[in-house]
Amino acid sequence: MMTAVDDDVALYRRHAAELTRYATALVGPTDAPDVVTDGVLAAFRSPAWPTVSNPRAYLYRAVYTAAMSTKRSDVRRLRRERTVATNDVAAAHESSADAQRALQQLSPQQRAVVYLTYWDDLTPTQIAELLDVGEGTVRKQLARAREHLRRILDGQ
Amino acid sequence: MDSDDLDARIRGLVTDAVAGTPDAPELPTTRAAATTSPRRPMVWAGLGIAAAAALIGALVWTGKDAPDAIVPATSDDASTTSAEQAIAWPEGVAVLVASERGIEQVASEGGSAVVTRLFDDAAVSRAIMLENGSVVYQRTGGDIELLDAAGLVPAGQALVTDDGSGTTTLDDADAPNGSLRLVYRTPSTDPAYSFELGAWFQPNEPLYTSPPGSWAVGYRRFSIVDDSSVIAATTDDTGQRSTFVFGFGSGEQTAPGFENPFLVVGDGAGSYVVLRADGKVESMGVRSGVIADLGDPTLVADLDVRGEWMVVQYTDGSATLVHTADGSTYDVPVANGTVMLSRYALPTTLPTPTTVPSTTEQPTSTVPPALPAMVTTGLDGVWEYTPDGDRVQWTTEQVAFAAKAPDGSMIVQRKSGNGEGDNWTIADTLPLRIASPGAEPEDLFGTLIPAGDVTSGWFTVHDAAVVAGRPLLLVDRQPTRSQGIETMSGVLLTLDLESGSLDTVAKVGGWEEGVSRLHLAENGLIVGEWYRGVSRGLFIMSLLDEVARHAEDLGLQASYDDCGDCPRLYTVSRDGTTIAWLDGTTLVRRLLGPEINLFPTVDLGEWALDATDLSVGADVAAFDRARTALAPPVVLTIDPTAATPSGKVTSRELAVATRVALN
Repeated sequence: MMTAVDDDVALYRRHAAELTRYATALVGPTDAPDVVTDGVLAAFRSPAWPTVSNPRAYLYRAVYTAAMSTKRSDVRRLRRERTVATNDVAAAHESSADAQRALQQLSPQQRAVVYLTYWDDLTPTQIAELLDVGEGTVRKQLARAREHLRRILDGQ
Repeated sequence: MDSDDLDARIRGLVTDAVAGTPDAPELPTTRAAATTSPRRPMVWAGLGIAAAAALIGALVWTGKDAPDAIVPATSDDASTTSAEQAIAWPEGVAVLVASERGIEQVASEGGSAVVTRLFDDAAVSRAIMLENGSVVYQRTGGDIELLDAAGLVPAGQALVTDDGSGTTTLDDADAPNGSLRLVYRTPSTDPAYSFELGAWFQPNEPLYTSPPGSWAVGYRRFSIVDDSSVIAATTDDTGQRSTFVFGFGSGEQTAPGFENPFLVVGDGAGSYVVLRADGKVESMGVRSGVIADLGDPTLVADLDVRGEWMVVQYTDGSATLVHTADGSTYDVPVANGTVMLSRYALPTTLPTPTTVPSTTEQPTSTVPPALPAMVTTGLDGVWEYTPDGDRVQWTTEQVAFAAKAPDGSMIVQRKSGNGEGDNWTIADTLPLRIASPGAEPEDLFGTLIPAGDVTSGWFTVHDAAVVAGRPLLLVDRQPTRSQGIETMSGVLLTLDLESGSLDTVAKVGGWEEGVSRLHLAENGLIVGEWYRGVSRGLFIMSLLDEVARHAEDLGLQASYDDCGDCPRLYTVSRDGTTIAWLDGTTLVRRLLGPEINLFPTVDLGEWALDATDLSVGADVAAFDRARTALAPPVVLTIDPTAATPSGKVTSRELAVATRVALN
């Protein structure tokens, strides 16, 4: 007999990869597993969880909230990740680290919007629904993020 | 770069960023496991020192010759320490003892010495508590570092890095106007010279490089005389003792007329103090005259003087606190360390237990008042003072704010408000919940509303109370600068600590406007101060839509413009019956009801001019001062039966603490 716990686990497994990728965009690869774990467990523990109508969106928001509370140091993390990288993958890590460094200059909400726009190809309407914010907020944050990234990329 | 190019490059950027996505983590497979899954320990911003500097807690010294008699000052210990065992210690005076044990503070609790260990991560050669409660200290043979009470820099911030030789020496420090003055010696880069005298505010420009020659090696500790000079006693290679004064900035080098001094120190306020060969301690400068007689001067290792107080450090490792105005002495109850007076304001008169103020309106420390139920935050972490007199340490972490939650937990915040331009992040401002004393802090939003708040911003926790049966946390959220100054309008929120419901109750903040700390009462009143440009006034609203209150109802103007001495620090008692504020140094209280009644006003004295936050209860008030870099918070008890207009007020400073919140 399937239990609520089994349902939760199954649900998580369906979305685990995308949530982890989303968390990686928000906080980087080192902290991403912890952020996913914290966010998903918090969602499962929430008294609101049994009544959630869109569990996937709820999990995205929970991961975002967990990412917000993650204390991180970009410099330390990136240095650590370079250190552990093998020679074969060092170049790839360098590229990833540069990208992370650029994204970390955005606000958390802008990072989320940029990721969902450019990786998941979601529209502002879909992102607004997923993050439970206004569509205008999404458009505004996306515009500001693009402008910010333009300056960064122009400077490279 | 056109728009399409930009989109393509951002897409590539995101692709690169997630290229290293790790495998998805495994979750616990049962809900029970999930609910008990250990959370990662929260990392304290200061890392190295503050986290490792586990504050051991208060220790009560019960006998000078019995080191084993140091016992943890749990509530029982504190309350049962017998009078005949306790070492007397004057109220309002504190010293720091640096030693192999780390840093210990000696202060007064009910007239007895209480030793609080502030730092035990390493041996410390000298530690000095500044006016704002921050501590400058030097690891033995190592760097000079800062434990910042205001949390503006990471705890353990290195101010002066030793060159590895272990010969840098911290000599003195203070911060009389909130600006740190730090005097240290470090070996000269030129081997012909013996050392350079440095100052933190000019780290790359030595104040003075000692002349070459063996006579220069005999400098004792350099101490601060005033804004522009330091002083030290010297001994040349013939054994001749003299005095060296170094003036810097616009200061002049003026040698005082001391002959053959054993020790010379500055008091930081314009006076030199010399230990003469006859054992007498003489002051010259702003103050003059013999202030103490210490007997054999060869037994004295060092002096430290501030105001009317002096610490005498003896060569056998013991130390004595001396009140030079009346000659009373107090043994420092921890030995074998370097003892320095705290730099914050010290009392100029001793408590006189039998004297009740009749005409003066300055609060006095006649009898230490029983402390009310409250929470303090400071260098020693978060402490709760319970209604029955217990004192419980909830965390050793230094936090920006703490408030007791209605469910018995403690809500803390590591940093408060907007840190853009500083070195903390939005994540540092998220409220945390500590379930029980010593428990690991948990992210409150992550626990209660895992998907309920996706708007980033800077948070300030204001207060917590039960309102209409709901345990509410009052918090405001201000937007990030990247969201644009044209839309910089924050919101005041209540978070239901049971259901996780997050409700917006008002718009607060914005460009050049905002609110002070707001106080939440059980009848739903929220009281504080708003400011907009040069205007400010009473912020008051009700969560329950009961009788609306206005500033005019309370005898206040709706707005005060560009006013330096207008009413400020509005607050409300927890039960919502009393609204109070400061008018100059006067505490004004209004009893709310069908009609508004006036309490007699109470003058709190000049130190209230530095108050930064005010809490009131029934016949008790408390205010912060440390955030103006002057002094620790003060708790006042008010005797309503007093016949004098000012009422009988007793006061207690909460040394080490930086903030206080009445429960």
